[in-house]
Amino acid sequence: MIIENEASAGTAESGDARVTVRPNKGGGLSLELRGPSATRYGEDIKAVAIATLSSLGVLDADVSIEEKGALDATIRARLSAAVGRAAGVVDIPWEVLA
Amino acid sequence: MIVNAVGRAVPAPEGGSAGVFSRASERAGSKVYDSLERALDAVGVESGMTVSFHHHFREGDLVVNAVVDALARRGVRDLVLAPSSLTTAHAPLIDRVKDGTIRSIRTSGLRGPLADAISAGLMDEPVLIHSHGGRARAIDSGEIKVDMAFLGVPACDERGNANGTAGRSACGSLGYAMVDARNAAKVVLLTEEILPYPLGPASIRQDQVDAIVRVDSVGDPAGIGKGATRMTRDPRELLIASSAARAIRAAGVVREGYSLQTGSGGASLAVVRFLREAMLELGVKASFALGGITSQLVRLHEEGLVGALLDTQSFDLDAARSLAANPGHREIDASYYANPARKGCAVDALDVVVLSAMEVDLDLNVNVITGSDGVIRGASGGHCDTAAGAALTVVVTPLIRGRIPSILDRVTTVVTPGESVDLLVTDRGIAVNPRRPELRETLEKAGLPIREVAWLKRLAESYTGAPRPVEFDDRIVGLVEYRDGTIIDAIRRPRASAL
Repeated sequence: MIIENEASAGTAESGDARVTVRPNKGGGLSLELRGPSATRYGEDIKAVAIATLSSLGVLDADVSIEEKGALDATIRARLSAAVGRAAGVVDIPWEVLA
Repeated sequence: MIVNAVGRAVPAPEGGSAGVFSRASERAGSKVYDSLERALDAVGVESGMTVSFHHHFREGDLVVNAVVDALARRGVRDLVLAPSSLTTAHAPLIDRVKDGTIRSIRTSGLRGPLADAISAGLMDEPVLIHSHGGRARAIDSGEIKVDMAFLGVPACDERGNANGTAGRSACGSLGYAMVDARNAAKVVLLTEEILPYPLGPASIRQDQVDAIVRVDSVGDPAGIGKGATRMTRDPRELLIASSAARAIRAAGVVREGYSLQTGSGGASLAVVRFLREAMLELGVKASFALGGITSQLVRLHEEGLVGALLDTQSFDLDAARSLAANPGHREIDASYYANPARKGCAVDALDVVVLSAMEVDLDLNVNVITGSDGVIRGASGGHCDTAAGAALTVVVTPLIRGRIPSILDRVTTVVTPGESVDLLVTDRGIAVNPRRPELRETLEKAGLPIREVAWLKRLAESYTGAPRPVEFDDRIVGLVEYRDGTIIDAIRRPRASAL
């Protein structure tokens, strides 16, 4: 999936994450994570984000995640939604997300 | 023999002068100074001294920063700061550590930017964290020798009688300050109002006070109830509170004349509400409630459900008002409350205490001082004192906060040892200390959801995954004292999380 424009998903509520995806054409993946779980779960959250981007076929993107205690499923959902919006996806590929 | 001032022949005193009756009556107002600077001139300050403060204004305190700044301006250095606690209001002390005004800190609590900076290695000497009872023990025994106590009070009279209930900025109990006032070599009162003599009741007494300074404000009473004492509407905290109350009731504690304490924090405070319902249903009354007194406990007292309120710290303005109005609401000092080295303290008379926790481990050790990132952000308070004293110690915590599980293999920092914890109540089940098999049996028979601690930990991690350990380096930034003065744990500096 090609990231065409900047888009976000999620909120700053407890248990959620606000994920923002920006174009990074030819620059690969860059990932920034901030939040209260970063010390204990930073590596896990980043691994989930990378796996999600990979399953969506995103090769170039600048991703920032501000987590407020989100579990892995929430990270996946918010990141997928943000990627979809940033790539201008109209028909959501549910089978990829499953 | 010598002849004295009234013409009588009396034995000459050894080394002393005779014939003068020692001192003239103290002139009214002679202790009152019109500025902190003048008062400091009068009492004589010096580098290296130990200065103490109280935290009855909690987040609203204005005294500590003002006094330390005034001492810094006079070139005083190497202070040992011994306040009863420090809060986010005390961020400006970072600069006073950097410029050498403060050398060492001992306190019950530490939060906010100052706590962050100390965790990051601001101070050469580790901060010493003690409990309220441990602090009273150290000061009463002279282990901490307070050279000068700077005590903010809403009002006093011109000879130094003071309490926390008179005046515009009433903060309620002065329980921590009373220990300082009777032990410090010099006592300086900072007061908002000077009221007619004799002000009573005198929590701090004229015979303890060297100097009085009138200041515009010692603290913002609105800051007293901030943070720690909110009444929760969070359904999960209410669930935990109601389970805790059911367990306390099933354990047979809620009977005529029982006694209770509840800590600050959502679920712990909310237990009061459910215990009230149980007391009404069973038709029993408590003999006393202890500790930090909240509006919830005041309500029970005013309804006649709790006999006496023993108040070492008023947690909100309702409590401050009640202390002035209700004869059964009594101010007690921190030694009466929890000093383990004297001949008796009130925590030993507790039937049940409900306490919050940031982390609990498989041995039921409790951490209330360092966060999940290893950074200092809490207070020891009366946690280990009441846990040791109470017949039934109940620790309440949500199983998961955000993504962070509350139950770990080992807590980051031990404040309260697991041997003094009887029950761990979470939103997903209750664990009983293996030392209390009879209690476990009783609660199981009552149909309460009893689980092993390890089971609760696995359940949490089934949602969150196992947390990675915080990485620390070898630098010790804090020491945690148990109430008897032994060191129960050391707080190391967390390596900045590389992201």
